[in-house]
Amino acid sequence: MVGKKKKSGAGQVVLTTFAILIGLVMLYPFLNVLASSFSSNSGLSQGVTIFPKDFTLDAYKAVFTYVPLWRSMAMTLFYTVAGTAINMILTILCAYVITRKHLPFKKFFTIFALFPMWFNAGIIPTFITIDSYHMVDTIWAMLMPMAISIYNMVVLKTYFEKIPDSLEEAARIDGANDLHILFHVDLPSIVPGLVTVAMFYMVSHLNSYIYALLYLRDDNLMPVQMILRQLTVLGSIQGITGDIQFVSETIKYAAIVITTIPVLIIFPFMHKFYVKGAMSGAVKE
Amino acid sequence: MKKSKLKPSVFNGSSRKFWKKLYKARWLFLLFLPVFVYYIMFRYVPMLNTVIAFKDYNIFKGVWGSEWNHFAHFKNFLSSPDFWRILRNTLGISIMDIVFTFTSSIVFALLLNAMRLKGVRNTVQILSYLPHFISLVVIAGIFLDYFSVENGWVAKLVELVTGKPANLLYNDKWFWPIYTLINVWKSMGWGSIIYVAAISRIDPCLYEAAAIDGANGWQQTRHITLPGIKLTIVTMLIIKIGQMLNVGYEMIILLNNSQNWSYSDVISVYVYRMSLGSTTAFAPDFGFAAAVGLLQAVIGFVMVVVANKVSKKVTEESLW
Repeated sequence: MVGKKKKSGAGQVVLTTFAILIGLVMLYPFLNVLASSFSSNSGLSQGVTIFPKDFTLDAYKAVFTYVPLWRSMAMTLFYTVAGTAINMILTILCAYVITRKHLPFKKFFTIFALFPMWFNAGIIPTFITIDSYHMVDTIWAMLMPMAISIYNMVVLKTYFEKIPDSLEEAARIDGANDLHILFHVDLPSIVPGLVTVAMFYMVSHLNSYIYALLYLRDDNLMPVQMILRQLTVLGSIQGITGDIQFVSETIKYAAIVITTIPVLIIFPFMHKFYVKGAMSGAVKE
Repeated sequence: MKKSKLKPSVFNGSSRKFWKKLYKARWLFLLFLPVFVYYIMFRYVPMLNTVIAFKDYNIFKGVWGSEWNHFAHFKNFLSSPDFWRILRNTLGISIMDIVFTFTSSIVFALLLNAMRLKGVRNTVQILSYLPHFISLVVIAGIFLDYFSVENGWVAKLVELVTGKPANLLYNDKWFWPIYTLINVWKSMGWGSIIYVAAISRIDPCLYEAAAIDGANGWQQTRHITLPGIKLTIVTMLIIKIGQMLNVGYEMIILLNNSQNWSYSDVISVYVYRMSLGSTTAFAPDFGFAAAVGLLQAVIGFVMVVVANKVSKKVTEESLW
């Protein structure tokens, strides 16, 4: 082994350098945003890389008084908590039932649950449906249409399938019914799977803007990503009086930093779970 | 649920068994009830409502009250110049995605595997996952800045080359490469997970034997790692090709503008722009948009089914 190391030494240097370069490219935009958020507007126009120019906290002061951002963060917190709860209940029930061996018409139920993954109804028919339930422009439009992500359901399904039969049989001999088995046998034995899928859902609630764009009109209901979209992509904010103001460049960086921090804080803790879940889903897919 | 308690004489043996089986599963049916309601309300009713693709949809008359116009929307779309443009963009962006994003994940996994400094390797790996957790809005916001003529370094690069700064996002020809680059940055690390996992399942004895035979790192990668993950690559490629039409609109409608529509309109973006995202003063034609969406869904469905068949043949494993 030692001899081999020497032989491919130059190759390793090239590989490692290349990998570090990739790592830097991945990291640079984040450092750049962070540095920009601490720079002044005039500093920004001189070009900021990864160190703030003309250090100031002005952007953060401005953002802290920008009410729509805080209101939308509260809404996102609500959508994330309530949404993930609904997601988990329905996803668990669905994955549990279709993995039972004694379920009559098992094939029918499985296809019933998976079919929408292959044949999507499309934006417009879905919108018309949600509208016919009078859910457009209500919080329900943010919670219900995607209550089960079929991909996540498949991930959870693989966890249920991996539970050894003997565990259930023992409980059944003791007189447990399907309800008992779900709560007292199966769920406790797939906690890692539950955490994984809950995180998938949480991150998607935190980061999604598309359902708000399609289904919401009321500014008071908007999740934070829609406000961010106004600040960054559209580059304008509605002033208190309703007039459109041009966003001072640094404010949008401060807003990105503040809204992205929750995900970045939980990222180190969850990425291992996340990776495992992604693999278990991918194996089946 | 009381059915099984009925007099046995009414049923022959097998049907009694059948009812008994249903009764035994009563809890399962109860647990599935909310799921069933969800699927019907939010997944299957929308599928029924796709009939508006065959109707002259009028909001006031509703889905079922609107007049049929049969295949008029489809004829309109297929004979319009938009059709070829959108087909070209959808396939073009998909193929770019397969050639660059898909391949980059494989190369990245091989690169990680070939590295010996575990500390650097793990750090780079974790950093590469980072973009996956960031919202599309933030990603789009960051990249839009780079292209902006005010301060963006890409615009400055353009100035170096051509003499005057320009926002490449307002130049339609540049849309495909820009979109692909952003996608590579965003998805390369996350997409590599499955290959890293596949590589970790390769028997380490193979490497030891090769090392004894004097194979260097590149030869090991070429003759052990790559063949070892061939099946995974083929499977993922088949899935990708099966989903070729489903270029998502979520990222594109953050990056597009009226100057690059000619190259940024893929099917889903077009559907959105023609309906809910319409900026014209006229009421958008939901029936037409639904017809275009349905066309995509049907062809997409056929492609996925074919992909599964092919995958079964090639890898002897079904995708689901």
